[in-house]
Amino acid sequence: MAYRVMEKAMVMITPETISALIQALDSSDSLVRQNSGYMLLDAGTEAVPALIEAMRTPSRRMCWEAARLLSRIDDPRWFAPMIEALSSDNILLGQVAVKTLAGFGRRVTLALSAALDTSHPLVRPHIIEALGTLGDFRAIRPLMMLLYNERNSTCRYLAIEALTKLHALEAVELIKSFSDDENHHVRERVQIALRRLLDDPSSPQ
Amino acid sequence: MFKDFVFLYVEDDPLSREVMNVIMRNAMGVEALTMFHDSANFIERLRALPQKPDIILLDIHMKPDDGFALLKMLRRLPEFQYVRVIALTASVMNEEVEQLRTSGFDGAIAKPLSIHTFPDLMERILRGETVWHIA
Repeated sequence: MAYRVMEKAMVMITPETISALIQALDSSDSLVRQNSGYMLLDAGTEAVPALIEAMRTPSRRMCWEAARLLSRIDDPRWFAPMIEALSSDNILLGQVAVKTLAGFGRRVTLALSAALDTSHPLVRPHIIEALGTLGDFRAIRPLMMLLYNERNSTCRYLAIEALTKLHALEAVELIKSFSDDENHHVRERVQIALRRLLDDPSSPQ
Repeated sequence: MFKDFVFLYVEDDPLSREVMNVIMRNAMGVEALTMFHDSANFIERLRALPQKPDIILLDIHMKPDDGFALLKMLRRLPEFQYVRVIALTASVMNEEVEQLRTSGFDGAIAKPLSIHTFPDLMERILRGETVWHIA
């Protein structure tokens, strides 16, 4: 603790310092990134505008590190940029955005559902999983739409899993229609879903 | 810590390869990562690599040989008998999960891969832990 206080006292947090610390988030050395991250967290809300800006740079590593740090600072300014990040081409940033926003519970169901259409194919599976876990029935329709149209087999089987967790009895016919899906993981999930939804629809998943 | 290790990933799904590439190279700083797009001539291609892998990550459902068959081939060869081999699977069927546990893999990780768990799991595996992070 004393060490942290001394360290903080030794580094004056100025806009120049913050800028240098942000640049260090792109270092290939994980220790450099970690130390820079600690100091930016010490700077707290003062670092938020620069971190939001860093989240929008082309550097995959810097974006991802910036988003991870923002998620640990209590400041409402990063909420909207984090929702934007759900649709980023940077899959690391997208995954961090999903996990961070899912921490807000059912308040983000609609934002996550909307991002099903706009997210990168490698972020979408994580959005689907989050929607299944949040337990909000408003996610059922968007998940059914996605399942109906989705070409990616990973998204299909995850959508079936999520609908099963949500006890989506209205999705049973749709799920049944994937019984002969070309992908064996999808077929496995159909069997499990039908067993859980039809045999004992009232049991918790 | 990951940059000194050599990884091989055998996976026929291009999206899974892409996510592995981004997580390993961008987030974990891995420099030596080779990917095979299928399991054909596996041992021949493995032996042709410039460096012997420290960790081999195998998808299970592949053609022409599945992950179980590749593991058997590896364990028959003295030089690969002790290489750590991890299964990556999206299966939730009890029989397959049980088969993974009994067939000699050094661990298994569920797909889809997550940036929030994968680096920690790899760190534990490299420390010698057996990791079963599956359904």
